[in-house]
Amino acid sequence: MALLNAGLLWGLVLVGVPVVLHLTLRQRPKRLIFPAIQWVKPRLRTNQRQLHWKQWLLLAMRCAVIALLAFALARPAVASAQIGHWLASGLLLAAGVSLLVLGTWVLARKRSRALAWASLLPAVMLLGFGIANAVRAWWQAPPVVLGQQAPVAAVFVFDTSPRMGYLSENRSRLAQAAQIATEILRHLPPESTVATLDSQTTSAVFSLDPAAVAAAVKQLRPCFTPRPWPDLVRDALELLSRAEHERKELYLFSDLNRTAWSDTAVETLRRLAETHPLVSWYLIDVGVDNPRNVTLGLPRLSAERVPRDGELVVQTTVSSLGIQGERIVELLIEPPDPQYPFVRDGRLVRPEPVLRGTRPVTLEPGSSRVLEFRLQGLPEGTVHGQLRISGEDGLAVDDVRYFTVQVQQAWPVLLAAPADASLRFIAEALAPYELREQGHTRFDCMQVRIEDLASQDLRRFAAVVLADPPPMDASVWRKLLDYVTTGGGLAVFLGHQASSPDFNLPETESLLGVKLTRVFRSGGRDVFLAPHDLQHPVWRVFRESASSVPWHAFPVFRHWGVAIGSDQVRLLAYYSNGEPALLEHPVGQGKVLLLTTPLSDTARPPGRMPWNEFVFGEDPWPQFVLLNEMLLYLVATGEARFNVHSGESVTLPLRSHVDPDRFQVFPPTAEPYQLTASGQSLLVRFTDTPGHYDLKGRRGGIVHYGFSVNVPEELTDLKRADPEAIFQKLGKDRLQPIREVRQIERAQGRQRVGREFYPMLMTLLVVLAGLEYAFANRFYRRRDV
Amino acid sequence: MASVEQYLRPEVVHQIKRLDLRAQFVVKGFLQGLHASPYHGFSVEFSEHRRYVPGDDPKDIDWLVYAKTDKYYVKKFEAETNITGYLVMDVSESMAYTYRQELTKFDYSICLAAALAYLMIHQQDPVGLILFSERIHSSLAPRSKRTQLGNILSLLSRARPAGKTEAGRSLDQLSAMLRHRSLVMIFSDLLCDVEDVLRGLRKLRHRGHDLILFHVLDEAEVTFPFRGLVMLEDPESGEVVEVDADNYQREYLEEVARFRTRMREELGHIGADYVPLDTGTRFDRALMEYLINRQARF
Repeated sequence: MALLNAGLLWGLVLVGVPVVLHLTLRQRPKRLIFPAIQWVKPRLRTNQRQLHWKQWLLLAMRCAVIALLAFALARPAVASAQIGHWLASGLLLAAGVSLLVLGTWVLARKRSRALAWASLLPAVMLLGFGIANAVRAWWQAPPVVLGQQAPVAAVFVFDTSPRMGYLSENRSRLAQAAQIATEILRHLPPESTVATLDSQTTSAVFSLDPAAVAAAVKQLRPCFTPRPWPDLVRDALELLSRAEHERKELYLFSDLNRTAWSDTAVETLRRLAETHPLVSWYLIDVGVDNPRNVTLGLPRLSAERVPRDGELVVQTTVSSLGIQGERIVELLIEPPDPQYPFVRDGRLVRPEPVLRGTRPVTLEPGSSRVLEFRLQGLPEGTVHGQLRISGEDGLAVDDVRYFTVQVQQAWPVLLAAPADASLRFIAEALAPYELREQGHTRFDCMQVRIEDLASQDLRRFAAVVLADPPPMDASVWRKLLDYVTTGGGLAVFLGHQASSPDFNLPETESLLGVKLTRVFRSGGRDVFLAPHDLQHPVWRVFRESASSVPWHAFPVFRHWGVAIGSDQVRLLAYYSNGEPALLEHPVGQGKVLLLTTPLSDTARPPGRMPWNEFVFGEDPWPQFVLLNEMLLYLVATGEARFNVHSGESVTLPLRSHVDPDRFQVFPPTAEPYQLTASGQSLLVRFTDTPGHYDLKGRRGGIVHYGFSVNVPEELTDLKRADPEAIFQKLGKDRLQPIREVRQIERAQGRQRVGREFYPMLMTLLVVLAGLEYAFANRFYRRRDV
Repeated sequence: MASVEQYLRPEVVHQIKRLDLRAQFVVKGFLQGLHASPYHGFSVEFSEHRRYVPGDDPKDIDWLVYAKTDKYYVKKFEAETNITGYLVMDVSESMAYTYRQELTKFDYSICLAAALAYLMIHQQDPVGLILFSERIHSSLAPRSKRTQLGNILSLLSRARPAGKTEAGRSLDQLSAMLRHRSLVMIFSDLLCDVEDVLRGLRKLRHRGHDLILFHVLDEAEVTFPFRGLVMLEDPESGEVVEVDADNYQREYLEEVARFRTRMREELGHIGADYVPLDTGTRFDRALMEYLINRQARF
């Protein structure tokens, strides 16, 4: 709170005048002869008490009138953000005083004592709350620096998410924000300091040069990895808290989009505003109430790895906001060429895209349509594609979407099993017959007897599967160990053929990382696979439907117990009895996956009970998926993702015996840069721009990978939040809305000058003086009788 | 109160005369309306004879008729009463008070007393006057002569209200003074110890006197017309109280009403009349109403 004429507060001293007059010049009542005072005396004490109440009340009213007059003339003003607190305090105090007067009157008139206390107690409470609230507001109140010309510390926060590129009246929202910001800069008092923050910057400093700031503001461009809006505001407030100027102003430039201004975000902002009461907030709304835009949804691919000669299905959703009419959606493919891309004359040259499909779509405002493209005969290698929609609309960034798939030959996998073990389930799960016929399988399986393993050239295979392996010669285990160490993948499914002492050779233990202990048996159906942590890549597919996977429908009657002998071993799943089920053991550049129960037992294996119902249970799709994911992981592609959102990191698994460890990364627009592989993967962190990314390396020949980056759909969602609700939640006194340039000065005036109490106090003064006059008239009427 | 005539202004006398006519005082006797007389008077107005029956007083036997007829007859006379009346007037200082009326309580009481004295003397009943404040300090023996009215009014016009009211003590004195059963008419504002007053009245009544208590208050004393802050002073004791009159009228009137109610009940209990009056009411009208009311009771 500030006082325009603080010197007039000395007028409060005049409050003593009525007191002095009351004590010294107290008007004596006229003496009257009245013989019948014997009928006056009985209730005289009560009457005199009432008289004293009245006298004190009148004195208090007169003191209050003088105090109020002095206070009003001192012209108190508070910051707009605090007006609510002060008004609440005023109302509480007024209610308290009213109840106090009522209670006093009831006491004086000897009416209901209960009513008197029922008035006085709440009065005391209300007065207490009112004073406490006023004191709190006083302490928290921003200093009202009266006058417009005191320098300010201002932070401009710009929402530079992609939707700010929306064009309305041939001007993007960001350009509109920049224009208003320039106007605000022009009106800032001399010696003000300004800092700008946008959705991408993480730090900012104050500048004394408004022209430099204006130039920087004009350079703002949409960013595709915007930080959450509350984080930006928090940073801005922290910056302001370090500012030297007493007057601090925060300017938020936003289109009031419902994603950025979600209820959670608004609540966070409200809390931030409460913790920074010294800051004046301005919200510059550059949004458009009725946007017109056609949005192309993110491509949904049937698979990111497509077998050579396989089919790729691409789906997308086209939705319209305020636009009616027919549009064409095109699908284009860049044929893979190891020479591309390259930089020529400072420009990135990419292969010419080939049109592979068009779909017409008729749009209605608010409608959405799903479109599907089927692609066959894709060339082998990394294939980039894009979806485009014809015609112009407000926002261009969501008119093109990118995708990348890897077209390749099936991975050779060696399946080895003893003679009496069936490899049928494993082989059919990895390479189903129908796909085999069409040449669309991901794995090319070769089955051998386990006795023949020693004679196989394992380097030909991307992975080796041992189904129910019996004890083998140490040389075979050593061969497998060498294979895995050089980057091979080994899957072992233990079964009844294994035996504890014979399996625990040093080579076996080095390979598997465990020793076999004993066979666990279960008579009922209470033991089954129970994955607990789905973070490992082999559980990737199960993550979204974890609770609905029917593991309990496939009981395990026997399984091996293991003693973990290496701290490298990672437990990927347990059984429901708590024993380890699936383990991973990285060895050299390769890895071993060990399942302690077989995937080869039929319903009636000769001469024994089956160890589980994994294979012959009803609809054993979990095991089917798990086996595929295990093999994908072993061939080092399980986690590879070729289509990500902007800002997401991309990890490409590398095959150590094939791939180089250095790549050149070609972003869509920026300069190419070198990247070195870390271990068996390549991590690309910077994916800020939507488009195709290419990675080129050399090892023997050119090794080419790639991926696509798209802007998340929520960043191009143009639906607005309800501005009224936002202002309601954040407080209209705290947040000054600005939509046009001409509103700036008015809003600033309200915030900087604050709100004066003079009119309210004068009104109160008139009311109080009137009450005093009426009361005094009644009190002293016919005094001279 | 300079002249006697002031208390017997022609219009008052005329009013009283009309009152006489209307109340049939002159014909039937004022005191018949005023009180139920048990006395036998000296009237000669014969009414009728009737046969003696056992139980009749033998002295009423008309012996002349017995001589002529040899039968006992008793004489019947017109029922007439002669009674001695005493006008007992409070002349304490409080009786000199008026707030905004033409007459003080004392003047008002004199008017009442003069009217009653006129009536009694007019029908040849003796009437006396007694003045008291702290004690009885003046008195006029009862006479029925026409000059008695002048004497009474002369004494009253000379009287000056002064001193405190000691009604109890004065009534005790009065009780000792009165030899015969009389009609005692007391005029007072009763601004004294009410218990003493009641004790004195009971004693008078016990001695067979008929009592009428005219409780005369000033109009201000029954309406409490003050507003705002006032300081009230008792003229007799000098006691001062400060009162916020605005909030006190109701309480005061309740006190007065309670006092009057008690007096009415106490006097009714001992067979005496209590007549509350205030100077805001015309005394002739008040007196007439009382007399009519009293006549209706007998």
